[in-house]
Amino acid sequence: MAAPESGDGNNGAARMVTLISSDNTRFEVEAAAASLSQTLQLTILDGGGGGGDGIPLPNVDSATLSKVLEYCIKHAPAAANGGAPNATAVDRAELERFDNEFVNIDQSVLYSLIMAAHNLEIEGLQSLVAKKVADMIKGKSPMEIRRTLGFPDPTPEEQAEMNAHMLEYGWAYE
Amino acid sequence: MMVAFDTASETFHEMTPPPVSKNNRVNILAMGGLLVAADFGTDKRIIDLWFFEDYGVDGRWERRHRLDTGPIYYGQLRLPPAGDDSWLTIPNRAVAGTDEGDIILRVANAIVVHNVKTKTLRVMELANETATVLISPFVFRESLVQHQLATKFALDQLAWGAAAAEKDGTPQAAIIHLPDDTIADILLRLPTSSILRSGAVCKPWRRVTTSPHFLSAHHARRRTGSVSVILHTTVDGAPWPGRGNNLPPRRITVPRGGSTGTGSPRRGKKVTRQWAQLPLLHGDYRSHDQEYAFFFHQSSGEFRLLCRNMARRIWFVVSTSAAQPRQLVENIDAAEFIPWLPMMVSAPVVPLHGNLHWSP
Repeated sequence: MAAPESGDGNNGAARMVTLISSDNTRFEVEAAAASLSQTLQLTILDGGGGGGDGIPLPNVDSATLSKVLEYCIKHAPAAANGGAPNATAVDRAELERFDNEFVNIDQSVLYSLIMAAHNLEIEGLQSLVAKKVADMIKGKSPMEIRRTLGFPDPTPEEQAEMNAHMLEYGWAYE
Repeated sequence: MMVAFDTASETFHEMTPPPVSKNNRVNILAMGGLLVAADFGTDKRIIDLWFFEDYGVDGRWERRHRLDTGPIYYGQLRLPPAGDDSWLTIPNRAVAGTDEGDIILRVANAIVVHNVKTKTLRVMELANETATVLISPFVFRESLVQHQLATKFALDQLAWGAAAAEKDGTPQAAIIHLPDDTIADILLRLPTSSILRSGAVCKPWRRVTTSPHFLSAHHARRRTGSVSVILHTTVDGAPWPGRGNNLPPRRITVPRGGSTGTGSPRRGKKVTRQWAQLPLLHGDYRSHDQEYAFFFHQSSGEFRLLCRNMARRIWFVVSTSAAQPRQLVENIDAAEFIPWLPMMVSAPVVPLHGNLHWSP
């Protein structure tokens, strides 16, 4: 198993840590991958999460955590190379393809990922999911945004506010 | 040294600072058309209020009030007695003045409201708050209520999301129920016009996109390209909040009466908001520029941004109706300015009588 250098000073076989989701599912993952989370990084550097202990994550359910870890495992080698200065164009294209495919998901899953990425402070994932939602919003009218994101129909009051807003800021709607 | 900037002639001039020791922490604010300096002395417990009389003619500082905040308790801790050096590490600030004669001060981890007319003092403790409290005077002026973006992952927001979901029938795990800080993170990635349209989507999004914190972050992100600002103006034309890089406060409510806790938010001046596109900064202006103040230029009716280019050591003005930034004639010794520059960025600017003022 050719594990990438974890970057935390360990050599030889990659160190593994155990993460425990809110519904008590245990995930064993390379420390290097879990360390993409700023929240987890310190605990892992302190030697936590090894052996039978495991790090409990009461805010993340197993479905979301497995998705998050899929991202971390994919991105860990590039992150360990310090942002992959020597990554080939093929590697980068592959990561990009992965990212695009990764966020091609249901809005409720997207919601869980946004929350988890913020909770765990995984910078790359935070940007990826935020960018995805931003792309869903970009260029749309307020009403189209509401429909796209599945907001309930506006109340008459909200509708009136939207109309007033459009009159006031006409240039932004051009 | 105390610096002021004349917004009509766009020149700097020195003002007489209040006659206090250089070591004292002094903060200025405007109240009822007067410039007021709060002098926290050296023990930070006795606060002198200096008023600038006869502005523009034969201005002079006069000490009109001295208040003793007494020992302030916060959390489980009692502050050390006067004279103890650990006091000095506690940042104190005069936050704002109101037309009713209230001066809002931050002393240690409490908000102290002194009324200069009734000479009464109210101490509002911030319960269980031991971390540094960040206070923006502009938030106080607007509403005196908590800045939404200050709450990072607050549980009550999640609870609110669940309650709202029950009410409107959308699934709980829907984008509409994301907390404000994650919404801000998403919307910050959009171009200006999309952000503006997003403000019309719903009330929480409006709140996010018009908060000073968001605008400042948006501005910072766009600095290398086109610069956009939201122009907040009061009905009498004064810009609000004046500048962008003030941090939001934690949960604070200052009620009208004497008690702490709930109470209707203070009615501020009516604030209108409009968007305007500032010209593209390019070439030499692209980096190392820092905005110092945002002001209304009376004779042209324009809103202008006073900036300084750190690398080239020049002041320039960006305005809504000019295609290019305009360099200002340096009318004050640049070398004298240098030590003051960092402070001028971090302290709020006080606009009064056509001049912008920075604390001495």
